[in-house]
Amino acid sequence: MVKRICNPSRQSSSAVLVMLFICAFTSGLVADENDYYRMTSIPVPEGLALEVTGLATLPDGRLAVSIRKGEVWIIKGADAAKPTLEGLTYTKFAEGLHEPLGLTFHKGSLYTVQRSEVTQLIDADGDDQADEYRTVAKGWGVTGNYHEYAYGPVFDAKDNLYVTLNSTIGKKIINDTAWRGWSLRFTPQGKLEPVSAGMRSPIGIGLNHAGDLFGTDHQGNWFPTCPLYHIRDGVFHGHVDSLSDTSRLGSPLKHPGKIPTGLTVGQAAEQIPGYALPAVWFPYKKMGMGSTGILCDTTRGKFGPFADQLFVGDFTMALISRVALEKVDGQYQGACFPFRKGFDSAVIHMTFAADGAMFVGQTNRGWNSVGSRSYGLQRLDWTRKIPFEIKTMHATKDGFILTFTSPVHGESAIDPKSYAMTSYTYAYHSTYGSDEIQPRTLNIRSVQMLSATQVKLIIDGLRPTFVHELTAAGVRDVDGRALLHAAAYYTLNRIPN
Amino acid sequence: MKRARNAHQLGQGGASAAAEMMMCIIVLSCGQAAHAQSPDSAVTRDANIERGEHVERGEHLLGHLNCTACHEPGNAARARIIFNEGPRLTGIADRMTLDEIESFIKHPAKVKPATRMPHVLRDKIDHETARSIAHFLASLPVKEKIAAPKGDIERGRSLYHFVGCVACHAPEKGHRPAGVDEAIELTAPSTPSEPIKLAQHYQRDGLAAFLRDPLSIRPSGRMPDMKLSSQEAADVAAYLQRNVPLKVTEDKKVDVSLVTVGLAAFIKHGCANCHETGQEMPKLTARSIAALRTDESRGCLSASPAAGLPMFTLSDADRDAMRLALADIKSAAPLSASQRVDRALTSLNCLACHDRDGKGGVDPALAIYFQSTTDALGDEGRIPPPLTNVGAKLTETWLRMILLGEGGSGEMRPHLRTRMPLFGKANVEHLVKDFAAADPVDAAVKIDVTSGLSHHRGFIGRSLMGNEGLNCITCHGLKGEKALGPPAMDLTRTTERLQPQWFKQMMLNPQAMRTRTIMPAFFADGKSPITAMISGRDADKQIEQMWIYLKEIDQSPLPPGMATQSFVLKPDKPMVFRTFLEGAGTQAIAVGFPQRIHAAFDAREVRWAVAWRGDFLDAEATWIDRYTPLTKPLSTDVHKMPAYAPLAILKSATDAWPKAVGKEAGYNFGGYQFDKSRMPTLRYTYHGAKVSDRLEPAPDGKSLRRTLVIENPPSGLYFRGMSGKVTPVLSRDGKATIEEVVQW
Repeated sequence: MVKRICNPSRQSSSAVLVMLFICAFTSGLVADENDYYRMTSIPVPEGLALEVTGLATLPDGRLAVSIRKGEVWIIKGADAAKPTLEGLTYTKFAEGLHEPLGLTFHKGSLYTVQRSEVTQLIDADGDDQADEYRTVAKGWGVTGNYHEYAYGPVFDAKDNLYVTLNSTIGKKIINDTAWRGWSLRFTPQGKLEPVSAGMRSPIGIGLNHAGDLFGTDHQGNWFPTCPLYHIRDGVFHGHVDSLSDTSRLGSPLKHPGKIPTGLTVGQAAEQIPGYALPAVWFPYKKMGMGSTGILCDTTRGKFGPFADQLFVGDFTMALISRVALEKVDGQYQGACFPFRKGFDSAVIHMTFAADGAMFVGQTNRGWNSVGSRSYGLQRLDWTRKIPFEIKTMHATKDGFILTFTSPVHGESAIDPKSYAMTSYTYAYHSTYGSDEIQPRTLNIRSVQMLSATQVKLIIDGLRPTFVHELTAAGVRDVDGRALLHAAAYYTLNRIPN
Repeated sequence: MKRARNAHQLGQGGASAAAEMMMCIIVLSCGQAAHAQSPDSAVTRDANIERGEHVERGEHLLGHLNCTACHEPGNAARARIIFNEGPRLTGIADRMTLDEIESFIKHPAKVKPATRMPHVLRDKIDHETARSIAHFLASLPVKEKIAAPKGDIERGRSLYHFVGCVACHAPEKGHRPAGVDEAIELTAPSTPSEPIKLAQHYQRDGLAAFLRDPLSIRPSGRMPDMKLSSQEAADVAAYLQRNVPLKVTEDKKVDVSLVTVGLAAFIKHGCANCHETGQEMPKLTARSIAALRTDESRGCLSASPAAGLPMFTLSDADRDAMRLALADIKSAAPLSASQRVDRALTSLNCLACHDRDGKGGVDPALAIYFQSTTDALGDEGRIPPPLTNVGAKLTETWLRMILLGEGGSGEMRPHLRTRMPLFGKANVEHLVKDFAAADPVDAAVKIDVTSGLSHHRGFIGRSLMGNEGLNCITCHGLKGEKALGPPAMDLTRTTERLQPQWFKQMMLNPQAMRTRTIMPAFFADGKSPITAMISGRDADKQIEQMWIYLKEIDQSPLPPGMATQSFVLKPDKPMVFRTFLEGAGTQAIAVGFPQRIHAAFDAREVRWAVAWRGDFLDAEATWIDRYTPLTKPLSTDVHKMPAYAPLAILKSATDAWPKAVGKEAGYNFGGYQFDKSRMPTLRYTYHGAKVSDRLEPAPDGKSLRRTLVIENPPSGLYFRGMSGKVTPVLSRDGKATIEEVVQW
């Protein structure tokens, strides 16, 4: 519960400052993510290791779940207020699949991706058991290395489907490496079209509200921290192993030649033809340590005030963050914000139920995650209370415009001391991850109130391609609430004119 | 002064008309004549016993005899005197006949020696009053009668002697439980046990119902719920009444005219103060505990109480102890948690089975009645666990579950034949907090089970518990899997039960924690005999790794070496399983059959690749591991199929068969389809031809039958089967069917 400790709007200004201090200490302690997004665990029958890798809501409201051991289950009743084992029905829809790592429902069928193919699961007689496992997309290499996961599928508006492929990273059983570390498109006729290269472990794949495709990846070699990148034809996302396949027939990009190392990511983007900076970097440990599923808020308000934004899961830290993108010079960039932590296990995949609740599928087999469970399925319900958050962060030529989810308390919002900003960037190199480099503290020159929920920050010394980390710890809303999450991280690839 | 108020302080509201009429005439007092007499000089006390012990006993008796039912205790005394509600009399007609009730009222101690019930109608035995009270009680509503099953005396005798009755009630003279060696001498218990004389006066079904659920009738918990089934309760009832004729249904009818008189007498004599009848009744109020004078010559504590006062069966020493307790109670400090624990354990006689700090424990003479289902665990397998430090050992959640009999907590020691009974929530719930407060933890151990490292640690903990680690699975079961050797406690719920520091100390030094245990000490000088990942040989770290594994046991596989754990797939109908498979590559589709003959298709090369007889596949690498090594057919009888494509477009049958396979050769794999019997058929295309390719066990079960159906075959299409022979594909109406047998 958020307890309303004080209401600065009714106080005189000197009293307000005193009260603000009190609020700064107290509100932060009493406000809780759970007050706004309540977490409910869905019970799992004994003996079923529900290592969730994919989720899809069916037209009848039931939830389809793919699990790592190779099965698809259909769960009825997961949307109940207090799901109990007795109230849930688990039906095994498909089995014997090879590590399916995604699930989607498209035009009457479930589709999953296995290590070597996308499979349409057809239940012709309607008995909730698939009787045809139809291969609808394939043709990428599988050498037998365990890292060679395939993620997806995602369908676009033209019924093309997309998958992303993990790099091989290590020993091979056979030398069949085609398109590892690539995103691929398959036309409705099944034709393979390579889209973009340079992926490492691209667990997340999803569309934004405009129908553009995005992917997430993992920190490691060539990825200084986890990125969210815009997947589009002919771009190189940064991981070098995949570049050898530029020589394959159909590659939409040419090999960029010698790859320099030890530059900043901004310099790399200038020097390496085709290398596109990600739309968002998730600063390591601050925003996660292994980005996963992408889910666009298509609920039109049923899930709260973040319509059209992206939610992104995290494996190691078992959390979900939020991303608000904008286009600058035709390219996506934007900010990520903390959203919800404390899941039981590594978050892999999310989907929305018809009523706007979010299901969150989890498994950490093979790697580590915080949380006390190895796998599971949880649900996030919006409690209908609006959290006080930075809803969007929009770049301008000399600063940022912040839009809040609720009207701000003017004096706290226009006080530059309510804000702090640093910026830093990352090294592009073949070693594992990068520190935040070239850090600098920026001066908040002034703050203007644009509307009840909007302020404009004028900031000295913005640097293109740098991550701009904002803390707005001093801002209060008209009810005296501090921000539920005071931090925001804007990846300023381009400074607008 | 206060006397007048006390005398008329009756129940407020809800009183029946009859009761109200009685109000003005009831006068109750605990003592009348006052003799200045120091309580200390009443009797000669055993000089070896501290005054405190007398006081302790006195307070126990004040509770045991339910003095606070009439004497308002006040806050100080309420905290020190455990209130003992008397038996509930609703439905008494189910248990006793009118005559039995009457006789009990008239001579309680004769009918039930050592009864807590005082003699009330004693001056001259008032038959009419006793009779009317009996009729009133017999008129109380009874539950719908459920006939008990027919009891068996022998089974009852056996149950009586092993479930735990004999911890409080005398064993049958000369009874030797099965399996107890003739050489062992039967001796009488050193502590007097409670006879069960009252059982003889019960009706059989009523006795069985009482044994089934004693707390509903006697809520004080002195007679606990032994978790008897209805059959078991009937058996024990039959056994207890083995020497009396079967008492059948009441033939005497309640005399309605006596009921109102009986009710009035019931209230007048203070019966309602101790006994629930399901009706609201006024209660008598005597002086408060604080106002009691211990020197009354004709009070309840005197040898000859005044008329109208109850007379308890008390020794002089009892009286003296109670007087001392009353004298001290006003200034007594509140009870500590340890004292509350001690009193509860004494009052509920937990100490008859459990030892705590050297107090109590099984009487050596009764030890033969504490039996085990196994000889392998020694005394640990038959004697209930000690309660020494139990508050530091068990979690509060688990303590509560045990005390309230919830959540299967009573099934942790299936080898103990003696049962942990239930004493009633109201009587024992306080022990959850009191044990915890009485047994503080010296140094709490915190094991972080939420950090990113925990899952690696859990994984290592799993191997430590397995057959190449400390081999815990030899004695301990897990998740319903039995131990390989002696059946010690199943460890599935360890972290729910135990506090981490106790677990750690038990692991480091089992004998110091449990004298009777047969668990070996694994860690000498803080070192493990096993070297494990991360922890090396560090005992603390290994214990932590095992704790984390046990914490996540519900989601984790069993330790290596547990007998029946197997991931071998055993098809009971055709089964498709995709994995990296030796002989069929990284895009293998294995098909297993109940006939124990199996095959695998290589979806990359679009051909059947391998077949084998025997077991199908072990799914462990695919289902459990992070690394996914090639799975191997579980057979030495593996047949590699020829590596060429099945179809080719040729000019003639003598052309060289192309080497190319799969996509390169023009094949496009399309998945598989199940028919009604869940038999899968693989689908692919080849230059416009739609091919269905199926392998299934031949009727002999020793070979495989292959059926290809080719729709729309292009011209010049040839088939090359497993034998190597090339044949043209001949179609009729655009469809060709080819069959062959695959044998080796």
